[in-house]
Amino acid sequence: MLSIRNVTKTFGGVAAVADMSFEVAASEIHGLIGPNGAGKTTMINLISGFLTPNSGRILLDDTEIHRMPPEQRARAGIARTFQNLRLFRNLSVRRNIEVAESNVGAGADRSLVEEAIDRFGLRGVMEQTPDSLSYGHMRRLEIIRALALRPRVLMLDEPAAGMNAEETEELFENLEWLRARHACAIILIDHDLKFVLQASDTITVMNMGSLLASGLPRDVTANKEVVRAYLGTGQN
Amino acid sequence: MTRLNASQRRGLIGALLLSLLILLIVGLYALWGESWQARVLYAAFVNLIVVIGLQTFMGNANFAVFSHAAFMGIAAYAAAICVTPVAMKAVSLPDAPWGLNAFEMSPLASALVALGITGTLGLLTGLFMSRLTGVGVTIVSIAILVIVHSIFLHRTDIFKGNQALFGIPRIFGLTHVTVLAIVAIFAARLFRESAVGLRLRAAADDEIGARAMGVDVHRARLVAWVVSTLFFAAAGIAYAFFLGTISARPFYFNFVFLTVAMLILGGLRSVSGAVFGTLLITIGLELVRWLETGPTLAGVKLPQMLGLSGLLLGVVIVAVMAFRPHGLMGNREIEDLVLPRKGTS
Repeated sequence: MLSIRNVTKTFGGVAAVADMSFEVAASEIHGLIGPNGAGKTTMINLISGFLTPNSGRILLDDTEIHRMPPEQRARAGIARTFQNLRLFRNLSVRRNIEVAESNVGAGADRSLVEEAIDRFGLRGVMEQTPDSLSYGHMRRLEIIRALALRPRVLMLDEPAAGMNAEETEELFENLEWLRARHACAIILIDHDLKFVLQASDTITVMNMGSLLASGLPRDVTANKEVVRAYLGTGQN
Repeated sequence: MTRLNASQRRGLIGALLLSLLILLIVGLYALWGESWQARVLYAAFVNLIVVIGLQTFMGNANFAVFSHAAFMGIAAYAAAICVTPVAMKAVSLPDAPWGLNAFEMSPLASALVALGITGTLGLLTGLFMSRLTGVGVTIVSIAILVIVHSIFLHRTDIFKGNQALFGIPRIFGLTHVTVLAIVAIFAARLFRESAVGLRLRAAADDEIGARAMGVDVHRARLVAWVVSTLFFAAAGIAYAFFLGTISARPFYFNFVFLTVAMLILGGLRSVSGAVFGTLLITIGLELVRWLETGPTLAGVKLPQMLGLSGLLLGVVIVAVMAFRPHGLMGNREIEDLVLPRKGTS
């Protein structure tokens, strides 16, 4: 469904992403991992439109999206969260979600977001502004806000950052629910390798901007290149 | 029309409460006011429409702009030139080009022409204003103000410069401007709570986050900019239709400073703030003008203190910026003071 084909992005002659290709199928959870500086967030920015590739193509189904501005990609079904939260600080939780909802058609499934609000535990704080929420609630609000776009591809940039084991487990269950409920593809970036391996159907491993390996979680963890570049570096 | 959401329903309640406040003030004047106070009230309501117009762009998009007096002036002159009878224009605008002194229109048609011209200029300027960011918006808005003012000053064949363009039929009274002010309040509240207003406020908080949620930031800014110029146009038309004479001088920095101070005092994120700021500064200025003349207070004769009103505006801006940077109302609207939202702590 989402195809990344030979995408390269350079900054001042240095390739942050070099000739990357991978495919994300509908309804799969796709883990994108790699050491710090591997180009994971650059990849997310290329897919969501905040960066434009120097070469290569990005396709959603058969539509080329890599020249579209971010807002157009969002409305085409590419939603994301941010490593550093980008919530609307002066708007209530409800209004944060409504910003995304105002950009989807009237025929969208209204109950999806309402169910997510209950499931993610935000019902009681709908009229508060994000500043008054706990960090975990802010992270969950970002996911619900992205979900309000009724995305076909949902990209989560470090969703478990700053969460304890219990919260991470809850996030894992929520992602499973999300996939079953909304049938979108999820691209998951996180440093918590155990979490990504547990949650993902397929994994793409990046190193220094390039593709290092891809496949099922068990194949990737058995790959010697991956172990040397990433798993052997003492990551958790 | 789609059903109103909870925020929009609250917005209507808020607009209703503000309108009642306006009607209460007019009612107090009708019962106990003196005739000179009608002029003060009229000016206050014209200013109110301008400050509300400022709020729709400045408050929702979070940019400082200073070109509003220019758009107000354009509409005032356009309406005045259209509505003034040909016989009067033969005296007041004898050298006007393009047959401007050879036609006259009804007040309604004149107002529509003025709205159309101002709105078109709003659209044209908006096309580049909506693509600028940060301090660029402010600087270009000042440039617009200066350009328009120098055209008013130097095309004396059309605008009479610092001389008065006189003979405009005095069509409006306090009732008209009261109705206009109330319409402006409702329009601004509905705009703030509309999808465009919401997207604009989201982009003001975090532009990247808003774009990731599908918000076309340029488009939202353009719409808000054009809507705000229409408020300024309405105020300009009301100004010309009441005074009967206009000149270039009022549509410049002093007026810009006055209206910006009103918005900052009330809180630029809030329409209620715009209303409260306008009323408070109007009352404050009336008191100061009385003090300036050196009145006798409790047996003590005060000295004359000319220039105190300018000082007051400066002090208000500095004090609000220092002690309450989001103004009296901050993010709140009037209904938040009387009807707390459920689920807030």
